[in-house]
Amino acid sequence: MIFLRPASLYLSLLAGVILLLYLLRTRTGRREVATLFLWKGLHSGRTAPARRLRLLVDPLLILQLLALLFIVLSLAEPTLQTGSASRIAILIDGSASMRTIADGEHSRYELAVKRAIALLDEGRAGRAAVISLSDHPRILVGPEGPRDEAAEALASSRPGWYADASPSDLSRMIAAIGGEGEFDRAVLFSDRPFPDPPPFLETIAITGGENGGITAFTIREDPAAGGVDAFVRVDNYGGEDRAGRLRISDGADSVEMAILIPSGSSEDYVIPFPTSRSVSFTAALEPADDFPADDIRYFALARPIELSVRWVGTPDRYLLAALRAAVPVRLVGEGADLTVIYDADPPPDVTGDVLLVHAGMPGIVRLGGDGGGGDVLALAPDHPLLAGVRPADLRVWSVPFLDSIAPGDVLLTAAGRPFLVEFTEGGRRVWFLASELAATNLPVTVDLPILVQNIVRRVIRLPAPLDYRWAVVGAGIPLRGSGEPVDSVVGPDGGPIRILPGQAAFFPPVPGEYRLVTKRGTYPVGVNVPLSESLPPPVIEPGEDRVARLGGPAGLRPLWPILAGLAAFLLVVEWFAYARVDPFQRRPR
Amino acid sequence: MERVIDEEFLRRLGNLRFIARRRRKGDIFGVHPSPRSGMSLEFADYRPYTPGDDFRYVDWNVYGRLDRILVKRFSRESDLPIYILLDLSSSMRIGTPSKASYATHLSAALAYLGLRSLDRVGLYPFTDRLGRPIPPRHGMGQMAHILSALAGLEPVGETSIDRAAAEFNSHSRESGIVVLISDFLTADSYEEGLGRLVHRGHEPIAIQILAPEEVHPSGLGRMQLIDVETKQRVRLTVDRSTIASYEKRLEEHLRRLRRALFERRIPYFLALTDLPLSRFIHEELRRGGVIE
Repeated sequence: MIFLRPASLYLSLLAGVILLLYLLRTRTGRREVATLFLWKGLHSGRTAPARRLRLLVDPLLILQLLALLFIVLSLAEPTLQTGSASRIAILIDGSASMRTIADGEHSRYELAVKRAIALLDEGRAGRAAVISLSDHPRILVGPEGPRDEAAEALASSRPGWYADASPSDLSRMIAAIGGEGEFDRAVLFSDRPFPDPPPFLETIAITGGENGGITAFTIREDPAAGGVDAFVRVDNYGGEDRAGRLRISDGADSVEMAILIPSGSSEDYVIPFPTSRSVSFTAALEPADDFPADDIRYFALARPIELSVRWVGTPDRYLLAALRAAVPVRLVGEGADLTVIYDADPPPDVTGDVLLVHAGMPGIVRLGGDGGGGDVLALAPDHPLLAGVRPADLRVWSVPFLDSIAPGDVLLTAAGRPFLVEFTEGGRRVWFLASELAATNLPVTVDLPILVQNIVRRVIRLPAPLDYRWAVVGAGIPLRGSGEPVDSVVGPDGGPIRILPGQAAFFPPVPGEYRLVTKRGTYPVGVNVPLSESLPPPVIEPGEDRVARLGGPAGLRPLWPILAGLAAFLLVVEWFAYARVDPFQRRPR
Repeated sequence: MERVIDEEFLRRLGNLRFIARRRRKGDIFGVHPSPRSGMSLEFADYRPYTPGDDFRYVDWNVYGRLDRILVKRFSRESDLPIYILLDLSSSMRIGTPSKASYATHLSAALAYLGLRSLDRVGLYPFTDRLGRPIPPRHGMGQMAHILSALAGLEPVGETSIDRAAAEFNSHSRESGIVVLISDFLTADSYEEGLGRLVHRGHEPIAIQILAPEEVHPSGLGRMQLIDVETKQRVRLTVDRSTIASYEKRLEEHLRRLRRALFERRIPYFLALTDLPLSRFIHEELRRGGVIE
């Protein structure tokens, strides 16, 4: 038997009041009689010397105490667990966006915890499992966890800095706690409900809070000046215009500028640092909004590590600059990591990965004549090569027809023809960009360095720093591979992070600037909150929560009606008993 | 004191009337028999005709059958004074309803019975001495006086039946039925008073009023018992054995009372205040031959 409201048991202290009243009442009674001669000289009866002993024989007192006992017990809602206890699975969104201040005081996560605990109280669940759901989900309380333990775990839990969970994460966690059949209910508290949730999953949407933030931040080396250019995109998803200051810092110098972002729009900024030789950069918005985590972004420029590039064909300073922004580039004649073939025929001794720009390659793609331009469409927007790229911003004025093309991943089309394609040939990758940069607006957009950076990430997998200049929380950073091995990691707070011997990857848990230490040097890594966490949650109409309130959960039998009935019966008996008491002994109630 | 009597109660008294055990000399014709024979309403006997008898009383039917001249004799019926002696000492306050209330209602009912039977009824409240009496008179106007007096009476003082009886005898000019209503819970003597009433030629009837809780007390524990008449106090721890002793002592007291009354041929009735008054009158008094 469990008490759902154990605090009510404190009401039993009222028994002390009843006893006190009886002690006051048990003073010597006064009784008028017609004559005393019938009483005088009678043998006085024995009585308990102490009042407390006299109380024991008062049936009214015993009845009242019993009635009080049953009333208090019924208020405490004793519940008998019969058979299998009711079980509930609480899935609480632990992603970074749940840190958003929702009501000016509490975060979405705190509100979710509050409602989850209330649900446990309302539902009178016997057992509850608790899962913190993100792309790094955790089981806080297992499926056999008592309700109180679940409530404590919820109260003491904190959201992470990770991205939202995927449907597969959800399925995996449900399976880990025994599957949906193990629970009477499964309830998800999230600010970003799954678009097509499983039928057994009830969803309670937790919304509130205004957000905007830096949604793109990259540094490109300026080959002419020797410094760098910072490219920043600021989005305002809130309902009001956002005025503030944008500050870019390389650790030594900083640039500040006033910004005004209308509601629902974004602005791109290019800030030059002509003399900067720094490798660590931050972009920050002030003042912070309800979700400050995306108001500061980190970017690391891993200058000490070079990418050997063989350039074939027409030089293009924009593409080269984008390459240099992504990685220190060393131009070589042969044995390159990446061969760029720009509007030219490929040489026979191509090594490494290949980037074809308005160029063909035997067995891969053969160009026909140039055709007109058109809209750019993303056929695979989730492809890693398009991470951070906004295809809708791209403009293409000329796209060649193709005589032949090998099977590959067509990522973008322009005018209905392949515009960006990724091929895998043997042990290397080949990227095909159909148009010259001059036939597009790529040179003047922030998408070019991002796209090139994504290409470089796929070219140079290791050592890690190059591939993860813009890393996100929770995403694994490889520590081993064909590149230079990482010996140790230093966290954003300057403290060492333990790396086990042979550890293959490192998963940064919080945003900030990390440093990977190798024998050849130290390489910074900017770790940021996932971009997806900055996006506004879908509009959720009130009452859309798919929550069914628990009635009487199976396996729990409330005992309070029985106890309340007993209390009422005892009170009636006490009332009748009182009515039969000698009127001389009665006291006004 | 609350309203003493109502119409419904009087209606239920029906045609009851007092029964006198001895014939009285009445001044006027009432419904009670008088030892004086003669013109009356009730046939009594025959006697042989003697010269000078009124021929109107010769029973000619008997002469025709027996050839003897007999004269009819009649019992002369007369009224009978009824004295109601009502104990209104403080001890009569005990009970729910109080013994005084019960006794007052009973007094009113008996007064009504007497007056309706053309008897003279008087009310004599007493405590340790006689209170302000209402001398016996007949007629329903007397009923109004008695009711008014009863409504203004409050129990107070101690009880002394002996002294009250002595004073009553000095007030009553003629003998009659004396209804003595009291709880008889007094340690003082009452035998002398009863004897005075009998010797004065009255026909006493004793009605004892007791509260049920006086007969069977309840309530245990430490008590401070207060005599409502003398205000004396006794501290006592009452348990079941104490109550048993009390009941035994009360029974002895009642036995002594009944013996005293029996020796003086005084009818005795006990009325507990939880017994409906009409039931007491219709059953107890009627069965006891006090009324018919």
